[in-house]
Amino acid sequence: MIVIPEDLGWPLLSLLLIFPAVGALLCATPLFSQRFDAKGSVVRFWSIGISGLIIFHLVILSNFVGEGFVGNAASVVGGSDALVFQVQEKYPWIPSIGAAFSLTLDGLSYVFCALTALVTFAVLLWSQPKGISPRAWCATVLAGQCAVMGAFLASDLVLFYVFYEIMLLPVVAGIALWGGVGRIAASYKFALYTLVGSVLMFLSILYIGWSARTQGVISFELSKLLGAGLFSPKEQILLGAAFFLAFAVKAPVVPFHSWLPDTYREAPHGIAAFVAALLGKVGLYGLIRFAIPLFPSFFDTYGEGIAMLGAVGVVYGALAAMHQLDIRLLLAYSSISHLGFCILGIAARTPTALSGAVFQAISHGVVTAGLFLLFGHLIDLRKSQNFVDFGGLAGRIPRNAFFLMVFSLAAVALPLTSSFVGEFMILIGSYTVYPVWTLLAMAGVVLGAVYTFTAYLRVMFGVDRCTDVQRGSDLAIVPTVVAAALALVILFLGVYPKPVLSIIESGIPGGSKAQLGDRAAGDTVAGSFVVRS
Amino acid sequence: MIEASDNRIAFLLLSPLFGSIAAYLAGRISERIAGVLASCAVFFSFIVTCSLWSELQPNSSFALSLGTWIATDHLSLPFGFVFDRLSAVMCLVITGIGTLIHIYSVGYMAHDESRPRFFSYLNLFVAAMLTLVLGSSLPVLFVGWEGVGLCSYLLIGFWFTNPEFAKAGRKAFVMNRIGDLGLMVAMFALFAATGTLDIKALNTAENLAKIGPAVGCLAGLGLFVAATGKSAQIPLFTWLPDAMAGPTPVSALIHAATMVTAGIYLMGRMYGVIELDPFVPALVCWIALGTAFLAATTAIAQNDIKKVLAYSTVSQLGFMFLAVGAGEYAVALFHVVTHAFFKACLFLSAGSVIYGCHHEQDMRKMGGLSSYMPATCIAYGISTLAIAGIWPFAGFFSKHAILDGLALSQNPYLLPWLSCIGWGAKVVALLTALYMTRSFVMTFMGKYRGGASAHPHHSEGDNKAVDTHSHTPHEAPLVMVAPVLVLALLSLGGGYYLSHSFLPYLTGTGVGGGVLPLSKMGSDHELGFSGILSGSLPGVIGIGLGVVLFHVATALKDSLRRPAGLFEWLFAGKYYVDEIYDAVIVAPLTFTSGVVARALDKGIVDGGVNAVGRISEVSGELVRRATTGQVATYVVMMFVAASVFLGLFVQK
Repeated sequence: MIVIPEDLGWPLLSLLLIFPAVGALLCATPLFSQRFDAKGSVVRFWSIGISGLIIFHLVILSNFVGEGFVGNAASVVGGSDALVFQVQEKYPWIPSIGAAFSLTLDGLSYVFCALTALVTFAVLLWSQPKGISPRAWCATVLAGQCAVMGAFLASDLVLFYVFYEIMLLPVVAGIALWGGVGRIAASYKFALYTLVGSVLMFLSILYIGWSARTQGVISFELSKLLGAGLFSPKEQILLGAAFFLAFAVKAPVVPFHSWLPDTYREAPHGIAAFVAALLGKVGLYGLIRFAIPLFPSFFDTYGEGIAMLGAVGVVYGALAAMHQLDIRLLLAYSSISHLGFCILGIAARTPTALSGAVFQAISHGVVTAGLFLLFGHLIDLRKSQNFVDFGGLAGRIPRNAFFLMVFSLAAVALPLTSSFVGEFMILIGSYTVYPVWTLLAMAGVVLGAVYTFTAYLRVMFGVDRCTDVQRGSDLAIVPTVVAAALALVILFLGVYPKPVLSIIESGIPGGSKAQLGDRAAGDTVAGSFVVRS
Repeated sequence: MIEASDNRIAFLLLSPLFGSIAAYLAGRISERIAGVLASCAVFFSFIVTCSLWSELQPNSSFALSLGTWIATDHLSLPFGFVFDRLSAVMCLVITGIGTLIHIYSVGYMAHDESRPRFFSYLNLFVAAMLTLVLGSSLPVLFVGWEGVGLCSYLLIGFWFTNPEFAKAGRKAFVMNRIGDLGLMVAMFALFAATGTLDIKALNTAENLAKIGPAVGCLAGLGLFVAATGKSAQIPLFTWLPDAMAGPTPVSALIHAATMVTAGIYLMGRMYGVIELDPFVPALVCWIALGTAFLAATTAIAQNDIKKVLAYSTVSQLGFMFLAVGAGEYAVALFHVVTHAFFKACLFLSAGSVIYGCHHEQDMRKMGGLSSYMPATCIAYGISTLAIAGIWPFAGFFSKHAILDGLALSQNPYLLPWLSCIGWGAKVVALLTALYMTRSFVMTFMGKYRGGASAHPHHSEGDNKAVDTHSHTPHEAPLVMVAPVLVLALLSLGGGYYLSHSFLPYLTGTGVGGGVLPLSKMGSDHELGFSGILSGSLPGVIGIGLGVVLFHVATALKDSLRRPAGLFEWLFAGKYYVDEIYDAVIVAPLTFTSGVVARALDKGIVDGGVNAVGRISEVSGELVRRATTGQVATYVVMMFVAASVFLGLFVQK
């Protein structure tokens, strides 16, 4: 039994997209031209205000998600097995093929939207990068936020696909315009690689539409597709593989990751933070939101293989990170390593592991954004991103050193930081299903400590070699506040993860592996989500 | 067992935690306040511990629940603390000795401008260590477990401008992490078997039956791996000697008295699981004996006074694990306590010596210090007698109990070897007395050999103010001497005082409510005169040998100060364990990492992707070339294609 709440009467969800879209568009108007805004401070104020407004809006929306809240559909919930998107908006879009502009918000999309809002706010507030037009910068970041939010909110496959592709544009533009020496090559590679990945998904969506139509379902709405039991196990395996590949490129899953090091190395700090914190998460979100519920047979059949990819990715990323002398390449490979844990959790599909994977994704977003911004500050100070140009900085820039230590500790998943909660849940949830791959992934716990503390040692400890760095060049007040806020989020999530976990849990497939298997064997596909009251 | 909820536990934990923040913030106003604040915070914890301890009734414990930590519908990890007899013993040691060491640090660090940071870390360590011993479930214990590892890392690398110190910190963290992996595996295995991680629930007969010997063996090994990391046993012990890079009070508190005993605490807490498969305790016993022997022999050949004490600590921890392997957990804890007394005293005395000799740590440049610093000399002497196991000093009672307990082990894997292990332990006891006598003789007896060099050595970091005084050694100030003397008193009488009450208190014999298994030695373990004699014998021989070898003989010939030949090569080279690890683990890992990063990632994975890109580029180029726009070319191509298709068709 699938239940869709009535419209709320207010376009609460569209506002999440309208705010950044309008914000970005207005940046381009003469309102913020040189004449009125010579220093670009007004446009900064404007864009920061917009992203602050989005956070505020999400705080309001938090009343509509999570455990206990079943939206305005409370009266029609039937049975314990029902899919409830807690808030939904739906407008006709392309009626001829059944595609609709349909946005939904539940626990799963909520936490990802919150991450997006937080990271965007942090990136905008952190600082205006030098040598980049403030108007263009703010518009790019806000446009990126709009597209990523759209992907997290869309419940129509076609709409999701559109947002999924659109979000490449601002990022690719940002890299190509303001990146490092190899920016053009990097932006091409990034765009082409992810596009090739998503072509498979596009073809699959076409097939899904065609197949649904022949069975009398003229819609791309996730809930409709789920309810009808449309796909034979064989179809599920093929379509699931296509979706998995697309998301695997985005996430990224080893060995589909090679766009990532180049992108991270060349992108400007803010864009790199944005990509690292958010873009990959769309891949993970897509797996949990669409691929697992739609194509359980694929995951039943190839779960072990996916778990292997996750665990191998953890070790592979960590080993490659140990070898890097380029700060941003180290961050790139460490991201690959950390996201391997998420893949492992998704492959295991126990509720604990899945919640852990989502939690780890959120945590990684915050931690990695902080790391990119702090290392970005260091790179700007030294005009170099090679470790050999650093050393002994802790005495000179103690604030950066302090926060970098906090984020490094979060990166190695020290207890009471958010990453520990995520990793612990993933590992304890996967251990029963795939003990071997879980144990392999755990090697990453040690290797992670090796490369993270080596990086910190090379930059902050040892003989002071950066005599040209003035003591006054430590983090300014605003970046300090941003870093402190992100650090507090990490600590809060690590010490008291309960509220966020309960929101996440209300939005993930609650069935265990066995239940999903039963469904694939011919039961109704309806109950991929569990409602709690 | 009755559990009474008590909020005082929160004060106990929060006091050093807030002290840590307050010490740092207040230190920005006045560096002097930081040490006072931090000492007060720990002392307050000590008072709270005493009040809880004094009210602890038999068969009861205090508990504090702070709700659930990681909570979903399928997983619920409560954030709870339990104050029972075992925690009480540990808390008394941590906060009691912790207070003394904090006070001592006020003097020791008086010239360091980063004092606020130091005291902040030190208080944070106390908070983490208390979390470790109070946690009611394995995940909470793990919070403290990793927390003390972090503080240890921060304090070892406290003088971070010295790259060697910073690297020592990293080494400690990484090696501890390998151990932590064991604890995580144990947690996952136990959770998969029982669905709980609560320590008390895990050790119930019902759950132990659910776990069974197979999972029990895995979990037990995991726990032991964790213990080898934290408590510096083979194979994860090499970080501890390097950890001496930290300030000496840190070595006393973290790397002698408290953190390194966390492994023994963990074994004691989880003894039910450890003993599910007798193979695990047997392995513990063998590893412990090997570690104790290896470290004791290495200590003989060290010239750095702190390195001697570090290897001595590794060796004494081996003694504790011998007791664990023999199933005498309470005895192991007894040695934890007496060791905390005399080893903290030794380290702090060594600190005074280093302080008095202007940051000199090399014993070859000391000697004759008894006349310059008599109080420190007496304290060092008392604790040397204590660690050597001479009656009636503290170490005698716990060491004797370990040797007695070993002989009574019923472990099927150990039974044939008991006398062998017993003799091994006695040899190590003798070696202990030998190397400690050597260090005492080299430091305090004979003639002062230092002062020759014109420059004061800054072997403990460069941040310290350069001493402008004369280079004759001097006694430490009262704020340092007083804590040392208190510890010396404890090393003198602490063992005797506790010898009758300690084991019954933990095992519950006679008084009820024990938390550790009964000792096989029985409750009324009386030492006769012969017991005193035989127990002190290894120590007496060791000391006698030491005095002859290192004092009397070296007066004749200086080279006798170190063992000779092959032994010198082995002992002074620390058995080349670091070198072996570098060759067997670090180098291959670095190589693999290079292969992954360069060959695999850049070469194959990325190269493959770029090749695909190039193929499409090339094929695009071919198509572009083919579309020449000339009709003749198209006609030829059409003709070729048509004939190929025709050929295929005809063939069919």
